[in-house]
Amino acid sequence: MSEAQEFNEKDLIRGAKRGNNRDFGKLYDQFLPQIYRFVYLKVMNRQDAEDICHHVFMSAWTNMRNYRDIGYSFSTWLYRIARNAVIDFYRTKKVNVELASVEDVLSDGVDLASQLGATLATERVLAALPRLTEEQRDIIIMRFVEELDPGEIAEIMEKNTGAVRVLQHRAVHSLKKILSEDSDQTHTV
Amino acid sequence: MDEHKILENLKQLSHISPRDEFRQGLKRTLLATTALPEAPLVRRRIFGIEIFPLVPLATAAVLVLTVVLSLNTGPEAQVFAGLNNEEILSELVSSSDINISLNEFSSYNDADQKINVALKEASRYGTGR
Repeated sequence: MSEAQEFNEKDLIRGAKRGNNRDFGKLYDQFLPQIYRFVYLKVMNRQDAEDICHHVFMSAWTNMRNYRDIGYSFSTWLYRIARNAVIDFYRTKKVNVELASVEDVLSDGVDLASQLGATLATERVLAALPRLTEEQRDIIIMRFVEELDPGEIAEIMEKNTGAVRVLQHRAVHSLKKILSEDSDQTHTV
Repeated sequence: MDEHKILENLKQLSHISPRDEFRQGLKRTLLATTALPEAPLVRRRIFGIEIFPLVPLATAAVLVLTVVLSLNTGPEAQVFAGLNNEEILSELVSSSDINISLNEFSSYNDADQKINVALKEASRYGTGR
């Protein structure tokens, strides 16, 4: 994030803390896509992801005055709210994992027809994600989908950077193992 | 699938985005909801416990008052003023109003006695005539 962007974000946060809903609206525009992706890849259901995102942003807005700039970014705060919301979702609702087709969830901007091979492979990766542990899935999404740096992931997960690197290594190893097992089964059949 | 391919496919997932209707609908809901502005009394943390700034001030004021009161009066004198009848009576006796009334009473009493004596003498002289 550039210095100008960071300054702007701080201004928006200050405004939102004073109750300025337009400033919060701009923060929402900026952070909704990544929070939505994170939540979607955790629950694998569009309706549930929308419900959880609704809860996350409503909760952030109504608790905006409690947000303190104490070293970590606004997005870290949102990710933390989202992680807790997903945990609550799993606690309170019997989860029915729906593996939506990639075409349904990828944005319209991607030319899926020309990337059919890539899409099938992506679908396999998408199907493998729920078989990882919660922490491994968090790491994979934040590190390789959102491309957050290990320091920010450590803040979100309230762990140290070393622990995040170890988790990341294990998560990639597990994902590779799951995909190779799937591949072996496909070849056997 | 090798690691490079896996990471490439994971990157593809970054194209997942929320529906426009959902994005706009939630924004409208958020903009229509009033969030409470930042509290005027900013809470502070002491040893990890959040407290309002007026609490230590009030506690300090109570402590100072307690110390001042305990220095001015001994423990034996720390009784409720309204229940101390002796003190109330001594205050009444020493008050100037009641002293004035008593002085007036004694002077009236003297005058009555003098009038009685004069009337007796007058009646005695009157009968002797």
